Amino acid sequence: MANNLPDDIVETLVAYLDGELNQEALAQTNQLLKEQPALQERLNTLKVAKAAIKSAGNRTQIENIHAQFLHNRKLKAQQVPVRKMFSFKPLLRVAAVVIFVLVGASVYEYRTTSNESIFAANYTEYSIPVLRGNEQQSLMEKAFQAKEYNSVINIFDAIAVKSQKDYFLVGLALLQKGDAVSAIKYFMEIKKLNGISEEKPYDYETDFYLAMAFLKTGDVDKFQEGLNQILSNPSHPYYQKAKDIKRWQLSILKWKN
Amino acid sequence: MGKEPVFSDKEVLTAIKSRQNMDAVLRFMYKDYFGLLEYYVKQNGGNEEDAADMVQETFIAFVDIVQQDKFRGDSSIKSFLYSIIRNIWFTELRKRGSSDRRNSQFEKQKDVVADPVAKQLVEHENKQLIFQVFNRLGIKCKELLLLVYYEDYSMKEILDQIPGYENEQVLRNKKYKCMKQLLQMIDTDENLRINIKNALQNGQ
Repeated sequence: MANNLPDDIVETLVAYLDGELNQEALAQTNQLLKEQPALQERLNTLKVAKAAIKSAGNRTQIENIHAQFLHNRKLKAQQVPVRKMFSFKPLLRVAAVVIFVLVGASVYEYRTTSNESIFAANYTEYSIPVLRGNEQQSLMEKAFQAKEYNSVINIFDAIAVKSQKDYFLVGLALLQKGDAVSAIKYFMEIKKLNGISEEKPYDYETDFYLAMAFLKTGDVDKFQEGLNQILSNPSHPYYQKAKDIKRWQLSILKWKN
Repeated sequence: MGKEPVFSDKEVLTAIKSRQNMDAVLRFMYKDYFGLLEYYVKQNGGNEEDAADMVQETFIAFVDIVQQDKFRGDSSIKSFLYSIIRNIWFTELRKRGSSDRRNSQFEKQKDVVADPVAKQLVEHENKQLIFQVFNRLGIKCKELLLLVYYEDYSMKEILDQIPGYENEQVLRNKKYKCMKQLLQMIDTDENLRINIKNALQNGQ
Protein backbone atom coordinates (compact mmCIF):
# COMPACT_ATOMS: atom_id res chain seq x y z
CA MET A 1 0.00 0.00 0.00
CA ALA A 2 1.13 3.49 -0.80
CA ASN A 3 0.35 4.55 2.74
CA ASN A 4 2.99 2.22 4.05
CA LEU A 5 5.75 4.08 2.26
CA PRO A 6 8.02 6.06 4.54
CA ASP A 7 7.46 9.84 4.71
CA ASP A 8 10.90 10.63 3.36
CA ILE A 9 10.10 8.78 0.13
CA VAL A 10 7.24 11.24 -0.48
CA GLU A 11 9.73 14.04 -0.04
CA THR A 12 11.97 12.32 -2.55
CA LEU A 13 9.11 11.94 -5.02
CA VAL A 14 8.20 15.65 -4.69
CA ALA A 15 11.84 16.58 -5.23
CA TYR A 16 11.91 14.14 -8.15
CA LEU A 17 8.88 15.83 -9.76
CA ASP A 18 10.26 19.29 -9.12
CA GLY A 19 13.71 18.45 -10.55
CA GLU A 20 15.46 19.02 -7.27
CA LEU A 21 17.36 15.68 -7.05
CA ASN A 22 21.01 15.37 -7.86
CA GLN A 23 22.16 12.87 -10.43
CA GLU A 24 22.77 10.09 -7.92
CA ALA A 25 19.43 10.50 -6.12
CA LEU A 26 17.66 10.73 -9.45
CA ALA A 27 19.12 7.42 -10.64
CA GLN A 28 18.22 5.70 -7.38
CA THR A 29 14.64 6.99 -7.53
CA ASN A 30 14.21 5.90 -11.13
CA GLN A 31 15.34 2.44 -10.09
CA LEU A 32 12.92 2.35 -7.16
CA LEU A 33 10.03 3.46 -9.40
CA LYS A 34 10.72 0.58 -11.75
CA GLU A 35 10.80 -1.92 -8.92
CA GLN A 36 7.89 -0.66 -6.85
CA PRO A 37 4.54 -0.10 -8.60
CA ALA A 38 3.13 1.38 -5.38
CA LEU A 39 5.79 4.04 -5.56
CA GLN A 40 4.89 4.78 -9.16
CA GLU A 41 1.26 5.09 -8.08
CA ARG A 42 2.32 7.62 -5.43
CA LEU A 43 4.24 9.55 -7.98
CA ASN A 44 1.25 9.61 -10.33
CA THR A 45 -1.02 10.88 -7.59
CA LEU A 46 1.50 13.59 -6.78
CA LYS A 47 1.58 14.53 -10.46
CA VAL A 48 -2.19 14.87 -10.48
CA ALA A 49 -2.02 16.85 -7.23
CA LYS A 50 0.60 19.16 -8.68
CA ALA A 51 -1.50 19.68 -11.80
CA ALA A 52 -4.51 20.31 -9.57
CA ILE A 53 -2.63 23.03 -7.69
CA LYS A 54 -1.67 24.59 -10.99
CA SER A 55 -5.32 24.46 -11.95
CA ALA A 56 -6.28 25.88 -8.54
CA GLY A 57 -4.57 29.10 -9.46
CA ASN A 58 -6.58 29.31 -12.68
CA ARG A 59 -9.71 28.40 -10.75
CA THR A 60 -9.19 31.22 -8.26
CA GLN A 61 -8.60 33.70 -11.06
CA ILE A 62 -11.65 32.51 -13.00
CA GLU A 63 -13.83 32.43 -9.88
CA ASN A 64 -13.01 36.08 -9.27
CA ILE A 65 -13.90 37.07 -12.82
CA HIS A 66 -16.99 34.87 -12.68
CA ALA A 67 -18.15 36.60 -9.49
CA GLN A 68 -17.50 40.04 -11.00
CA PHE A 69 -19.37 39.12 -14.16
CA LEU A 70 -22.42 37.82 -12.29
CA HIS A 71 -22.37 40.82 -9.97
CA ASN A 72 -22.30 43.26 -12.88
CA ARG A 73 -25.01 41.34 -14.65
CA LYS A 74 -27.19 41.41 -11.55
CA LEU A 75 -26.67 45.14 -11.19
CA LYS A 76 -27.66 45.66 -14.81
CA ALA A 77 -30.75 43.52 -14.35
CA GLN A 78 -31.72 45.44 -11.21
CA GLN A 79 -31.45 48.75 -12.93
CA VAL A 80 -34.95 49.87 -13.68
CA PRO A 81 -35.01 50.46 -17.38
CA VAL A 82 -35.18 54.16 -17.78
CA ARG A 83 -38.16 54.70 -19.99
CA LYS A 84 -37.93 57.73 -22.09
CA MET A 85 -40.27 59.95 -20.23
CA PHE A 86 -42.49 62.36 -22.04
CA SER A 87 -40.36 65.43 -22.21
CA PHE A 88 -41.82 68.74 -21.32
CA LYS A 89 -38.71 70.48 -22.56
CA PRO A 90 -39.98 71.27 -26.06
CA LEU A 91 -43.30 72.46 -24.62
CA LEU A 92 -41.49 74.52 -22.06
CA ARG A 93 -39.41 76.08 -24.81
CA VAL A 94 -42.53 76.94 -26.79
CA ALA A 95 -44.18 78.22 -23.62
CA ALA A 96 -41.11 80.30 -22.87
CA VAL A 97 -41.21 81.80 -26.34
CA VAL A 98 -44.93 82.46 -26.08
CA ILE A 99 -44.49 83.99 -22.66
CA PHE A 100 -41.61 86.05 -23.94
CA VAL A 101 -43.68 87.30 -26.85
CA LEU A 102 -46.68 87.95 -24.62
CA VAL A 103 -44.61 89.69 -22.02
CA GLY A 104 -42.88 91.69 -24.72
CA ALA A 105 -46.20 92.63 -26.28
CA SER A 106 -47.65 93.42 -22.88
CA VAL A 107 -44.70 95.59 -21.98
CA TYR A 108 -45.04 97.34 -25.32
CA GLU A 109 -48.76 97.80 -24.85
CA TYR A 110 -48.26 98.95 -21.30
CA ARG A 111 -45.72 101.51 -22.36
CA THR A 112 -47.68 102.76 -25.36
CA THR A 113 -51.19 102.66 -23.94
CA SER A 114 -52.39 105.98 -22.59
CA ASN A 115 -55.52 108.09 -22.42
CA GLU A 116 -54.35 109.89 -25.50
CA SER A 117 -53.59 106.73 -27.48
CA ILE A 118 -57.00 105.23 -26.77
CA PHE A 119 -58.67 108.54 -27.46
CA ALA A 120 -56.85 108.93 -30.76
CA ALA A 121 -57.66 105.39 -31.79
CA ASN A 122 -61.35 105.61 -31.03
CA TYR A 123 -62.39 109.20 -31.39
CA THR A 124 -64.42 109.99 -34.46
CA GLU A 125 -65.09 113.55 -35.39
CA TYR A 126 -68.77 114.21 -35.30
CA SER A 127 -70.41 114.98 -38.63
CA ILE A 128 -73.66 116.87 -38.55
CA PRO A 129 -76.22 114.80 -40.44
CA VAL A 130 -77.87 116.57 -43.36
CA LEU A 131 -81.57 115.75 -43.42
CA ARG A 132 -83.55 115.92 -46.62
CA GLY A 133 -85.79 119.01 -46.61
CA ASN A 134 -83.81 120.50 -43.81
CA GLU A 135 -80.70 121.61 -45.68
CA GLN A 136 -80.59 125.05 -44.02
CA GLN A 137 -77.98 125.02 -41.28
CA SER A 138 -77.55 127.41 -38.39
CA LEU A 139 -74.48 129.60 -38.09
CA MET A 140 -73.20 127.39 -35.36
CA GLU A 141 -73.60 124.28 -37.44
CA LYS A 142 -71.91 125.96 -40.34
CA ALA A 143 -69.00 126.99 -38.14
CA PHE A 144 -68.76 123.45 -36.74
CA GLN A 145 -68.81 121.94 -40.20
CA ALA A 146 -66.08 124.35 -41.14
CA LYS A 147 -64.18 123.25 -38.01
CA GLU A 148 -64.16 126.79 -36.81
CA TYR A 149 -64.36 125.73 -33.21
CA ASN A 150 -63.66 129.16 -31.72
CA SER A 151 -66.55 130.54 -33.76
CA VAL A 152 -68.72 127.71 -32.48
CA ILE A 153 -67.84 128.69 -28.91
CA ASN A 154 -68.48 132.39 -29.59
CA ILE A 155 -71.78 131.72 -31.27
CA PHE A 156 -72.76 129.43 -28.37
CA ASP A 157 -72.01 132.18 -25.89
CA ALA A 158 -74.23 134.54 -27.81
CA ILE A 159 -77.26 132.26 -27.79
CA ALA A 160 -79.69 133.19 -25.09
CA VAL A 161 -81.74 130.00 -24.91
CA LYS A 162 -79.50 127.04 -25.55
CA SER A 163 -80.77 123.72 -26.85
CA GLN A 164 -79.27 120.25 -26.45
CA LYS A 165 -77.89 120.68 -29.93
CA ASP A 166 -76.07 123.90 -28.94
CA TYR A 167 -74.57 122.26 -25.87
CA PHE A 168 -73.56 119.28 -27.91
CA LEU A 169 -71.80 121.25 -30.63
CA VAL A 170 -70.00 123.50 -28.23
CA GLY A 171 -68.98 120.46 -26.21
CA LEU A 172 -67.58 118.87 -29.36
CA ALA A 173 -65.84 122.13 -30.30
CA LEU A 174 -64.23 122.30 -26.88
CA LEU A 175 -63.25 118.67 -27.09
CA GLN A 176 -61.71 119.27 -30.48
CA LYS A 177 -59.77 122.14 -28.97
CA GLY A 178 -58.57 119.87 -26.18
CA ASP A 179 -60.65 121.34 -23.41
CA ALA A 180 -62.22 118.13 -22.24
CA VAL A 181 -63.14 119.46 -18.79
CA SER A 182 -65.33 122.21 -20.27
CA ALA A 183 -66.70 119.82 -22.81
CA ILE A 184 -67.79 117.51 -20.01
CA LYS A 185 -69.61 120.41 -18.34
CA TYR A 186 -71.65 121.06 -21.47
CA PHE A 187 -72.30 117.38 -22.23
CA MET A 188 -73.60 117.04 -18.66
CA GLU A 189 -76.00 119.89 -19.34
CA ILE A 190 -77.50 117.85 -22.20
CA LYS A 191 -77.99 114.95 -19.81
CA LYS A 192 -79.72 117.25 -17.34
CA LEU A 193 -82.02 118.65 -19.99
CA ASN A 194 -82.81 115.23 -21.39
CA GLY A 195 -83.54 114.07 -17.90
CA ILE A 196 -86.44 116.40 -17.65
CA SER A 197 -87.77 116.34 -21.22
CA GLU A 198 -89.70 113.79 -23.14
CA GLU A 199 -87.60 114.15 -26.18
CA LYS A 200 -83.95 113.38 -25.65
CA PRO A 201 -82.09 114.83 -28.59
CA TYR A 202 -78.38 114.10 -28.90
CA ASP A 203 -78.63 111.73 -25.97
CA TYR A 204 -76.91 108.79 -27.67
CA GLU A 205 -74.27 111.01 -29.19
CA THR A 206 -73.62 112.61 -25.84
CA ASP A 207 -73.18 109.19 -24.22
CA PHE A 208 -70.25 108.48 -26.48
CA TYR A 209 -68.60 111.89 -26.57
CA LEU A 210 -69.01 112.42 -22.85
CA ALA A 211 -67.27 109.13 -22.25
CA MET A 212 -64.51 110.19 -24.63
CA ALA A 213 -64.20 113.51 -22.83
CA PHE A 214 -63.75 111.68 -19.53
CA LEU A 215 -61.09 109.56 -21.20
CA LYS A 216 -59.35 112.70 -22.34
CA THR A 217 -59.25 114.01 -18.79
CA GLY A 218 -57.90 110.68 -17.49
CA ASP A 219 -60.98 109.75 -15.55
CA VAL A 220 -60.91 106.11 -16.58
CA ASP A 221 -63.68 105.07 -14.17
CA LYS A 222 -66.10 107.59 -15.65
CA PHE A 223 -64.99 106.62 -19.12
CA GLN A 224 -65.66 102.94 -18.38
CA GLU A 225 -68.96 103.82 -16.77
CA GLY A 226 -69.99 105.62 -19.96
CA LEU A 227 -68.91 102.70 -22.13
CA ASN A 228 -70.82 100.26 -19.97
CA GLN A 229 -73.93 102.33 -20.31
CA ILE A 230 -73.63 102.22 -24.11
CA LEU A 231 -72.84 98.51 -24.08
CA SER A 232 -75.91 97.81 -21.94
CA ASN A 233 -78.01 98.70 -24.97
CA PRO A 234 -77.14 96.73 -28.09
CA SER A 235 -79.33 99.02 -30.19
CA HIS A 236 -77.33 102.05 -29.07
CA PRO A 237 -75.91 103.74 -32.21
CA TYR A 238 -72.49 103.83 -30.59
CA TYR A 239 -72.64 100.23 -29.33
CA GLN A 240 -70.11 98.90 -31.88
CA LYS A 241 -67.74 101.77 -31.28
CA ALA A 242 -67.87 101.14 -27.53
CA LYS A 243 -67.32 97.46 -28.13
CA ASP A 244 -64.25 98.14 -30.26
CA ILE A 245 -62.49 99.72 -27.32
CA LYS A 246 -60.38 96.96 -25.77
CA ARG A 247 -61.08 96.15 -22.15
CA TRP A 248 -57.50 95.23 -21.38
CA GLN A 249 -56.44 98.66 -22.50
CA LEU A 250 -58.73 100.07 -19.86
CA SER A 251 -57.08 97.76 -17.33
CA ILE A 252 -53.68 99.11 -18.34
CA LEU A 253 -54.96 102.60 -17.94
CA LYS A 254 -56.20 101.80 -14.44
CA TRP A 255 -52.85 100.26 -13.47
CA LYS A 256 -51.04 103.28 -14.79
CA ASN A 257 -53.32 105.69 -13.06
CA MET B 1 -15.16 53.54 -19.15
CA GLY B 2 -13.03 52.37 -22.03
CA LYS B 3 -14.19 49.91 -24.63
CA GLU B 4 -13.64 46.24 -23.70
CA PRO B 5 -10.85 44.69 -25.78
CA VAL B 6 -11.73 42.04 -28.34
CA PHE B 7 -9.51 39.01 -28.94
CA SER B 8 -9.27 36.57 -31.82
CA ASP B 9 -9.18 32.82 -31.07
CA LYS B 10 -5.45 32.82 -31.67
CA GLU B 11 -4.90 35.71 -29.27
CA VAL B 12 -7.02 33.99 -26.63
CA LEU B 13 -4.98 30.79 -26.87
CA THR B 14 -1.67 32.65 -26.80
CA ALA B 15 -2.70 34.64 -23.74
CA ILE B 16 -3.88 31.55 -21.86
CA LYS B 17 -0.79 29.51 -22.68
CA SER B 18 1.57 32.32 -21.73
CA ARG B 19 -0.69 33.41 -18.86
CA GLN B 20 -0.21 36.97 -19.97
CA ASN B 21 -3.21 39.31 -19.98
CA MET B 22 -5.36 36.47 -18.64
CA ASP B 23 -7.84 38.72 -16.83
CA ALA B 24 -8.69 40.69 -19.95
CA VAL B 25 -9.00 37.51 -22.02
CA LEU B 26 -11.23 35.81 -19.45
CA ARG B 27 -13.46 38.85 -19.20
CA PHE B 28 -13.75 38.88 -22.98
CA MET B 29 -14.68 35.18 -22.96
CA TYR B 30 -17.31 35.71 -20.28
CA LYS B 31 -18.78 38.57 -22.26
CA ASP B 32 -18.81 36.67 -25.54
CA TYR B 33 -19.65 33.11 -24.50
CA PHE B 34 -21.45 33.18 -21.16
CA GLY B 35 -24.87 33.72 -22.72
CA LEU B 36 -24.48 30.89 -25.20
CA LEU B 37 -23.23 28.40 -22.62
CA GLU B 38 -25.81 29.44 -20.06
CA TYR B 39 -28.56 28.99 -22.62
CA TYR B 40 -27.40 25.44 -23.32
CA VAL B 41 -27.68 24.37 -19.67
CA LYS B 42 -31.02 26.07 -19.22
CA GLN B 43 -32.34 24.41 -22.36
CA ASN B 44 -31.33 21.05 -20.96
CA GLY B 45 -33.00 21.07 -17.59
CA GLY B 46 -30.67 23.33 -15.63
CA ASN B 47 -31.65 26.39 -13.68
CA GLU B 48 -29.82 29.70 -13.61
CA GLU B 49 -27.55 28.65 -10.77
CA ASP B 50 -26.68 25.37 -12.49
CA ALA B 51 -25.90 27.28 -15.65
CA ALA B 52 -23.59 29.74 -13.89
CA ASP B 53 -21.73 26.90 -12.13
CA MET B 54 -21.38 24.91 -15.33
CA VAL B 55 -20.10 27.89 -17.27
CA GLN B 56 -17.46 28.55 -14.62
CA GLU B 57 -16.32 24.91 -14.71
CA THR B 58 -16.27 25.07 -18.51
CA PHE B 59 -13.91 28.03 -18.51
CA ILE B 60 -11.67 26.43 -15.86
CA ALA B 61 -11.52 23.20 -17.87
CA PHE B 62 -10.85 25.11 -21.07
CA VAL B 63 -7.94 27.04 -19.55
CA ASP B 64 -6.48 23.80 -18.13
CA ILE B 65 -6.74 22.01 -21.43
CA VAL B 66 -5.17 24.89 -23.34
CA GLN B 67 -2.34 25.27 -20.83
CA GLN B 68 -1.59 21.55 -21.11
CA ASP B 69 -1.46 22.05 -24.86
CA LYS B 70 -4.27 19.55 -25.37
CA PHE B 71 -6.45 21.80 -27.47
CA ARG B 72 -5.52 20.97 -31.03
CA GLY B 73 -7.34 23.92 -32.50
CA ASP B 74 -9.40 21.77 -34.89
CA SER B 75 -12.48 23.71 -33.98
CA SER B 76 -13.22 27.24 -32.90
CA ILE B 77 -13.01 28.13 -29.23
CA LYS B 78 -16.76 28.60 -29.27
CA SER B 79 -17.36 25.04 -30.51
CA PHE B 80 -14.84 23.65 -28.07
CA LEU B 81 -16.46 25.43 -25.13
CA TYR B 82 -19.78 24.07 -26.30
CA SER B 83 -18.38 20.52 -26.26
CA ILE B 84 -16.98 21.05 -22.78
CA ILE B 85 -20.22 22.29 -21.30
CA ARG B 86 -22.17 19.44 -22.89
CA ASN B 87 -19.85 16.94 -21.21
CA ILE B 88 -19.73 18.74 -17.89
CA TRP B 89 -23.49 19.11 -17.73
CA PHE B 90 -23.99 15.50 -18.74
CA THR B 91 -21.64 14.37 -15.96
CA GLU B 92 -23.47 16.58 -13.50
CA LEU B 93 -26.84 15.14 -14.47
CA ARG B 94 -25.48 11.64 -14.18
CA LYS B 95 -24.20 12.43 -10.69
CA ARG B 96 -27.57 13.74 -9.71
CA GLY B 97 -29.12 10.50 -10.94
CA SER B 98 -31.63 12.46 -12.87
CA SER B 99 -33.99 10.16 -14.66
CA ASP B 100 -36.61 12.39 -16.07
CA ARG B 101 -37.46 11.93 -19.69
CA ARG B 102 -35.85 15.10 -20.86
CA ASN B 103 -32.52 14.25 -19.32
CA SER B 104 -32.70 10.69 -20.62
CA GLN B 105 -33.14 12.08 -24.09
CA PHE B 106 -30.20 14.38 -23.46
CA GLU B 107 -28.04 11.47 -22.32
CA LYS B 108 -28.88 9.54 -25.48
CA GLN B 109 -27.83 12.49 -27.55
CA LYS B 110 -24.70 12.83 -25.46
CA ASP B 111 -23.76 9.19 -26.13
CA VAL B 112 -24.05 9.79 -29.83
CA VAL B 113 -21.85 12.86 -29.74
CA ALA B 114 -19.34 11.46 -27.24
CA ASP B 115 -16.04 13.09 -28.11
CA PRO B 116 -12.42 13.25 -27.03
CA VAL B 117 -13.24 16.18 -24.80
CA ALA B 118 -14.84 13.70 -22.39
CA LYS B 119 -11.48 12.08 -21.64
CA GLN B 120 -9.83 15.39 -20.96
CA LEU B 121 -12.61 16.28 -18.62
CA VAL B 122 -12.08 13.22 -16.43
CA GLU B 123 -8.75 14.70 -15.44
CA HIS B 124 -10.41 18.04 -14.91
CA GLU B 125 -12.95 16.41 -12.65
CA ASN B 126 -10.20 14.85 -10.56
CA LYS B 127 -8.47 18.19 -10.32
CA GLN B 128 -11.72 19.66 -9.15
CA LEU B 129 -11.91 17.05 -6.38
CA ILE B 130 -8.28 17.60 -5.41
CA PHE B 131 -8.94 21.32 -5.33
CA GLN B 132 -11.60 20.71 -2.68
CA VAL B 133 -9.03 18.79 -0.66
CA PHE B 134 -6.38 21.43 -1.33
CA ASN B 135 -8.73 24.06 0.03
CA ARG B 136 -8.70 22.28 3.39
CA LEU B 137 -4.95 22.85 3.76
CA GLY B 138 -3.71 25.64 6.01
CA ILE B 139 -3.30 29.10 4.57
CA LYS B 140 0.52 28.99 4.60
CA CYS B 141 0.61 25.68 2.73
CA LYS B 142 -1.89 26.88 0.13
CA GLU B 143 0.01 30.09 -0.37
CA LEU B 144 3.34 28.35 -0.73
CA LEU B 145 2.09 25.60 -3.07
CA LEU B 146 0.35 28.14 -5.31
CA LEU B 147 3.51 30.21 -5.54
CA VAL B 148 5.55 27.13 -6.41
CA TYR B 149 3.23 25.30 -8.80
CA TYR B 150 0.92 28.00 -10.16
CA GLU B 151 3.11 31.07 -10.21
CA ASP B 152 6.25 29.05 -10.96
CA TYR B 153 8.27 31.20 -8.59
CA SER B 154 11.75 30.08 -7.63
CA MET B 155 12.52 29.43 -3.95
CA LYS B 156 14.52 32.64 -3.90
CA GLU B 157 11.58 34.67 -5.22
CA ILE B 158 9.28 33.07 -2.68
CA LEU B 159 11.69 33.93 0.14
CA ASP B 160 11.30 37.56 -0.90
CA GLN B 161 7.52 37.23 -1.01
CA ILE B 162 6.89 35.37 2.25
CA PRO B 163 8.75 36.48 5.33
CA GLY B 164 9.62 34.06 8.15
CA TYR B 165 11.66 31.44 6.32
CA GLU B 166 15.38 31.39 7.06
CA ASN B 167 16.57 30.08 3.74
CA GLU B 168 15.57 28.23 0.60
CA GLN B 169 16.06 24.81 2.18
CA VAL B 170 13.67 25.63 5.02
CA LEU B 171 11.20 26.73 2.42
CA ARG B 172 11.75 23.57 0.37
CA ASN B 173 11.16 21.44 3.47
CA LYS B 174 7.92 23.31 4.07
CA LYS B 175 6.88 22.53 0.52
CA TYR B 176 7.56 18.80 1.03
CA LYS B 177 5.58 18.88 4.24
CA CYS B 178 2.63 20.55 2.55
CA MET B 179 2.66 18.07 -0.33
CA LYS B 180 2.77 15.16 2.08
CA GLN B 181 -0.19 16.61 3.91
CA LEU B 182 -2.11 16.97 0.67
CA LEU B 183 -1.29 13.41 -0.33
CA GLN B 184 -2.48 12.11 3.01
CA MET B 185 -5.75 14.01 2.62
CA ILE B 186 -6.24 12.53 -0.86
CA ASP B 187 -5.51 9.07 0.55
CA THR B 188 -8.18 9.44 3.18
CA ASP B 189 -10.76 10.29 0.49
CA GLU B 190 -11.57 6.81 -0.82
CA ASN B 191 -13.61 7.99 -3.83
CA LEU B 192 -11.00 10.48 -4.87
CA ARG B 193 -8.20 7.98 -4.59
CA ILE B 194 -10.11 5.44 -6.72
CA ASN B 195 -11.03 8.10 -9.26
CA ILE B 196 -7.44 9.15 -9.66
CA LYS B 197 -6.30 5.54 -9.91
CA ASN B 198 -8.90 4.75 -12.56
CA ALA B 199 -8.09 7.86 -14.50
CA LEU B 200 -4.39 7.03 -14.45
CA GLN B 201 -5.07 3.46 -15.53
CA ASN B 202 -7.17 4.79 -18.42
CA GLY B 203 -4.18 6.64 -19.72
CA GLN B 204 -4.52 10.04 -18.10
